[in-house]
Amino acid sequence: MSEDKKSLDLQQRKERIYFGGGKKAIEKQKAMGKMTARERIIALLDEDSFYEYDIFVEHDSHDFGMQDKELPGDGVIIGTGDICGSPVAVFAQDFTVAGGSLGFMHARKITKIMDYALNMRIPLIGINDSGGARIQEGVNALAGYGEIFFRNTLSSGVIPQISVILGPCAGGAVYSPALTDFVFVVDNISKMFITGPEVIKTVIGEEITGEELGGARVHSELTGNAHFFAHSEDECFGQIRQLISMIPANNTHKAEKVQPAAPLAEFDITKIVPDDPTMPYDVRDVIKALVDDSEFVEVMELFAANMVIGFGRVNGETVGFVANQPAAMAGVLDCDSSDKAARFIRFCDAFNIPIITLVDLPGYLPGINQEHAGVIRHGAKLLYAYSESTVAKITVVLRKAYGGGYIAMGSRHLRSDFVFAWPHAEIAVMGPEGAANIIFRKEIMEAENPAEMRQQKIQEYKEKFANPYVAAAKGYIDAVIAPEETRKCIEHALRVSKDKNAGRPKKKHGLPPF
Amino acid sequence: MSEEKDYDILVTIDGEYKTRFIKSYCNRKPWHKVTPQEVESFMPGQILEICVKVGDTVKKGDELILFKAMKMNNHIKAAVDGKVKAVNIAVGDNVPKGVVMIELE
Repeated sequence: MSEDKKSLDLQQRKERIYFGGGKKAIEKQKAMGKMTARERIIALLDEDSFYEYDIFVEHDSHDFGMQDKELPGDGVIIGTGDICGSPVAVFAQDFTVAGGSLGFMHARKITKIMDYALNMRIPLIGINDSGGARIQEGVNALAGYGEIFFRNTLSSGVIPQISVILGPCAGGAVYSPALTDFVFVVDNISKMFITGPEVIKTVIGEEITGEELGGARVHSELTGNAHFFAHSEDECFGQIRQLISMIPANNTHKAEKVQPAAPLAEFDITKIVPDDPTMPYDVRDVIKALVDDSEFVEVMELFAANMVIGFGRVNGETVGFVANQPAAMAGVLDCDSSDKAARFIRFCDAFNIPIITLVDLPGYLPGINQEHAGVIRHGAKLLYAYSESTVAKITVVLRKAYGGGYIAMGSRHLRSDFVFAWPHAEIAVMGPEGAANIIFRKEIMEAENPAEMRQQKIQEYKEKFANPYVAAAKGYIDAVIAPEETRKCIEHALRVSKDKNAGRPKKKHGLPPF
Repeated sequence: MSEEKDYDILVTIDGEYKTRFIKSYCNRKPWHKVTPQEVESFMPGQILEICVKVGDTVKKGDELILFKAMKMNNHIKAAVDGKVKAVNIAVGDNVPKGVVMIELE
């Protein structure tokens, strides 16, 4: 009998906590179009796979009347569960409980699940929905943030870390997501900033809404803080599940291999890239013509669209793509696109995902803005990331590869393992127009008809250098291949490099230019 | 140099501080709202073709300008439906980055 009583008591205790911040707070949360923290975890994980810990933890606030308040679970839910059958660790802040504010025990719960994730070598997913530090707890709240940042850094490159912003994430709280590998945002729900609109208005006098200052679109398009943009929470959870299914659980594994499949017939690789080098096209169609089922999971789709990055599978194996996008800003390299690609390459390298680079770029973007924005420093990140990475690297020059851009985009010189070029590739130090103007400056100036002479010299340069054979003659290109052979060559290269072992000198850590 | 010239007052939410300002802080531009009605040059380039004139009605996706930049002929399309209010460029113009080339209404 007493056993029954005890289990009833347990049930009642749990239910009180399941109720979060109460009916009113939950209604308010729903009115904003948001799910509750518990609903989110259930929507994210496989059915009935969630195991919760620290449910009875109580808060540690003793001042300003807080001692009399009950904060169920101290405003955060932690636990482990499965995504597509693989275990993950999760925490979700509960905005209905004291605005999801982070106090001492709240942070302790988060750091506990972070320690679990690191020790068990499983991915960590954090759902952020919090007003910020619990001011009543003073420096204890700040200490909590610091402990979280430290663990984010420790786990970096060991387990994949994912942050989901489903509500406000302001002040110090933004730096945990910034330290993680992938940040997911939802339109009209996510808000991230260091100082909010009220503070900006008071101090600077600038007026702006929270959405315009740090909404999902801002971070997806302008700042590059967010990696995946969704229109609804459900879509967002679908994106997370898809990503988790494609990447390994930790840095000692490779991503799980799945049943191979051919690309869809509608993506005909021989018909996508126009011969005319001034004609744009969508490089994502080339990727879709190369990957299984033409399924490409693009990362940071809206930021620096002149560089495309993302995951796909070739012959069932997960690979990372880095590709210039001629359809956006001619596919130039600039500060943002270098930064975007460099970070992605380092993720792939850390988690044993081969990197496939598709090259079609005119070079670095000239301009005062770019130079003053630090294109030297940001561009160097890309060189660093390629040179440092030891996973299998396969490069295909689709069309243009000019100047510094040729070197930066996974060239042989930065230790790509396989470098292929299509027959109409142009690999040279600069474009024919620019080169002819410099080399034949005197001839053009002294000619009777300078315009005609100029055209003639451009043609001369084009014939001599705007092809892949000069580079192939030096062995910088391993093979000149027909577009339709590309997938076969990549499959073979992946098979050959399965046990690749390319060492780098031992060091404490390198010093990438960030 | 006098102290007044070297130092300025920085006001934050927590109070006032006497401080030196860095160059990039002084040179920052005020924030302005981006509107899809203003078609800006997104990088320096040359105008090859202008497909619309003042008074034309355009639909989202209609081609506005053929813009040559970085060895590529970029097709610049309307982001929204509208009427062409102003064309601030001519064929052959070399435009720097950030110029409002076409205004819609």
